[in-house]
Amino acid sequence: MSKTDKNQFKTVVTKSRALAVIGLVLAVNLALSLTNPFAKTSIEELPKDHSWISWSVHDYASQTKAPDVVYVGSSLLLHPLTMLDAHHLKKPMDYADHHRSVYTEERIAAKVGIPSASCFNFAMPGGMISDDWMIVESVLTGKRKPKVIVLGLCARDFMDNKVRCPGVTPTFKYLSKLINIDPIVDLALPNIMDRTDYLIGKVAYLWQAKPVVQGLLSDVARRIAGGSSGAAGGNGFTPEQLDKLLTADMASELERGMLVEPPDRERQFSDNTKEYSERYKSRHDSLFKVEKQFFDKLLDTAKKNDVRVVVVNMPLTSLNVRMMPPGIYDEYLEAVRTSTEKRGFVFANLNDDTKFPSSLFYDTVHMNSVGGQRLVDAVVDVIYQDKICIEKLRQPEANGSGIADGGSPTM
Amino acid sequence: MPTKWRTMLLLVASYVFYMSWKPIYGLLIFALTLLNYGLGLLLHRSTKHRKLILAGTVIANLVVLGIFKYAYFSHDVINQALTPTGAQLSPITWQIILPLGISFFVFEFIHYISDIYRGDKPIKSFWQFALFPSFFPTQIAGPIKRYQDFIPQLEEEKQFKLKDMDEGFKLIIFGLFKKVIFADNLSVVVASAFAHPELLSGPDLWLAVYAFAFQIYFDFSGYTDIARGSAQLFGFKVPINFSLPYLAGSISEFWHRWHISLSTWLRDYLYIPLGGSKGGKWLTYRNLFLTMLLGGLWHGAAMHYLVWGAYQGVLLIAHKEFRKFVAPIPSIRSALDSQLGKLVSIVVTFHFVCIGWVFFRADTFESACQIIWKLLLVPQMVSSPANAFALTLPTITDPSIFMLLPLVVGLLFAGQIIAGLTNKKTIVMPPFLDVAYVAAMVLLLLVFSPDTSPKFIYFQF
Repeated sequence: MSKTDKNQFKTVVTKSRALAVIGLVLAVNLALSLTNPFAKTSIEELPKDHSWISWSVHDYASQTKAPDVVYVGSSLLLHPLTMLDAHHLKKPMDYADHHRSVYTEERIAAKVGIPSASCFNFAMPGGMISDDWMIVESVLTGKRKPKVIVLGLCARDFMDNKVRCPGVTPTFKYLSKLINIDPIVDLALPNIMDRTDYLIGKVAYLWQAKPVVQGLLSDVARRIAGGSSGAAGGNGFTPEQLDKLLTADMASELERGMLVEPPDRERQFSDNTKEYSERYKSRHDSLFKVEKQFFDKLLDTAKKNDVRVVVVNMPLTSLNVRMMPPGIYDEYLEAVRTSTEKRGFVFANLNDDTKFPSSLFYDTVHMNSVGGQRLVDAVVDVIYQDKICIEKLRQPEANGSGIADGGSPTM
Repeated sequence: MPTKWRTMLLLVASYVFYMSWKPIYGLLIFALTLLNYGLGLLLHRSTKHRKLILAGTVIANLVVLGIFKYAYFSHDVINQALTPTGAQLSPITWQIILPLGISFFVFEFIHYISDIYRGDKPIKSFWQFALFPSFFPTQIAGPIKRYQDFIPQLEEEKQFKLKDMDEGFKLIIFGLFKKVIFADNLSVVVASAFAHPELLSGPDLWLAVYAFAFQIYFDFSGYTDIARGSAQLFGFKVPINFSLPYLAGSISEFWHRWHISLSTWLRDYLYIPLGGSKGGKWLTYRNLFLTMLLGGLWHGAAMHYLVWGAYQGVLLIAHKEFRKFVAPIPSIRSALDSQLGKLVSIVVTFHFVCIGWVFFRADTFESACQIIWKLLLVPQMVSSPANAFALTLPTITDPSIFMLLPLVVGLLFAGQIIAGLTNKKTIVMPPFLDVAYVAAMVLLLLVFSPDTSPKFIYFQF
């Protein structure tokens, strides 16, 4: 290096504002990494960021004891069960607050012959099987584990073309604060961009803490904008209108009062074939393969924790099944049936259009409250026919008491 | 590095960058480069048929642009026109994918050949000429360069300058900040509202239109900053495209501040060749209208872009008429020149621009009409439904998007605003403050970037 070059190098190092910026950012990053102010490791400490999953998780953590039955799945379970309770109890049901299935509780208590039963609905809109695994692995363990998990599935949960990979969904990201996902990062984040994102998070503290910081700031903004209840007074939109208005990015957020099922009317039929033609655009084999592994892992976790699993192939309209790429539905059904039965769990195929005709649906996949009632009746029948389920449900306080001090999830 | 090698290195890098998307389109830009280079030299040497060579070259460029960009649109328009006769064109069976940046580099070729025709000297070196349209910081979405500014920079002896590195870095961070923090977060609200205007009230739609006005500004000016910053890291200056456009006091001033490299191109290579303002009032207005109409069509092959262009033409004509009307009335003139008058002019101009954005952003012309109808509160005045004036959009979105916007816009443009108020050209920040300011932007980028980032709006043009 010549003397001129050396001088130039010295000038760059000592006088460059760009390098000073980089240095300052690195210093802030180091300070944050050492003090770790946004570390969140327990369920109670997860940010209340007004996402669907945060409402459910915090409600679950506030239960006095672990529920007997927990529904896990997608909006195929979430909507009909919420609508059913709104009609059954004759009062509006707010998705931000209502995470039980009262009708299921009553049916189980009556059918199984126990004084009361508790049932939590952990279904998430757009939930993939990897999200279901995340919920089971990070929340439904230790003292928080239920006696029975009812897993409502459909082929979309394995191959949705709108989902790039398992690790990018709001539910997966939110709950990954609770467990170390390093061992499953190959499955969850297979593509190079998402993996890079994850690796940046390992070294850039604020990048990793982004959801927590965003949640905190968003909560502050909401308080300033009109109290933490946000749109508690309602927003004038019907659930059908909100379904249209909320784009994918907005749909992961939920305010109290924003989406409320009315007690006195069914949703009008809306054609969602355009949406599903995108979701079913191709077989998405790479995702299917990975999601299948998450399904096996979910069953293994439940087996290890001694939780009984009832896997339900959810009813769909025949129009929707016909929209799927050729062969994928049978492949999915066979894979799910084989894995479930191999582990000795219960598999129930409820996709039968003689029992669930299209009149019970408000679009091509989601059932209305009448469909929801028929679904719960069928699920309770399946539970009733399984001796292990009955035994578990009849065991008093099998999980001990106090869910709030539940066991730490581990991997 | 010797000048020649530097050109070659940048050329290879630019082609690798361009071909990383669709390799075959590298051939397209190379073929157009060969054509324009050869015909440029021929035009320069010719004494006869100069007009023919110019017209032939311009037409060849426009035909390529037309095939890739306007084939489907032209097909639909012709079919609509043929509908009464019962005849229809057979459908286009092959899939046409728009090459990235074609609208920008075709305009650079037309500028080149037109200036040669007007007497400027052509570029001698083929490699320098090839780098002109393909230069990677500007190849996708401009700014539209002028070869008289660009080529001398290739020929000058380059020395590493600390200032270039620092300013380039700062521009890139600025651009990223505008794109990622503002444009991408606002796009969520905009996409939802423009997809279903029938569900929203007039005030909600105004909010969505304001959101789009800032989304498109931050998206495009953010891209331009990144492009200019990247070029500056290599010691190149490319033209600015924006100068606080929403502070324009008239629509004419707006076009001097918005997408400057396009508006000056349209002036030099469309408006003036059409006759400019030399042919009397009506010819001037015709030229103005046609220029803006074609400018609208340049943005996209759809009826709503054409209407947007026509709207801009009408506004410019109306503004000229307004100026003529108030010129002999001193009281109005002095009112307009007062501080309050200027402020009112800015607000009024911004709202006229916003109405134009509705045509630009709406999915269809019908949808644009529906939105404008509601913006003007017509349905409310007709039927007065209970929630006609309700502002519900913030209740279903993260309110921090709306709350942070004015705050950070103020911060972003603090320097320019203070400079404007104090009549200084620029405000020079103390070094420590400048470093802290840019570092804060980097930290905010880490925290507030959305998980997925939509592509730049102007990439589609």
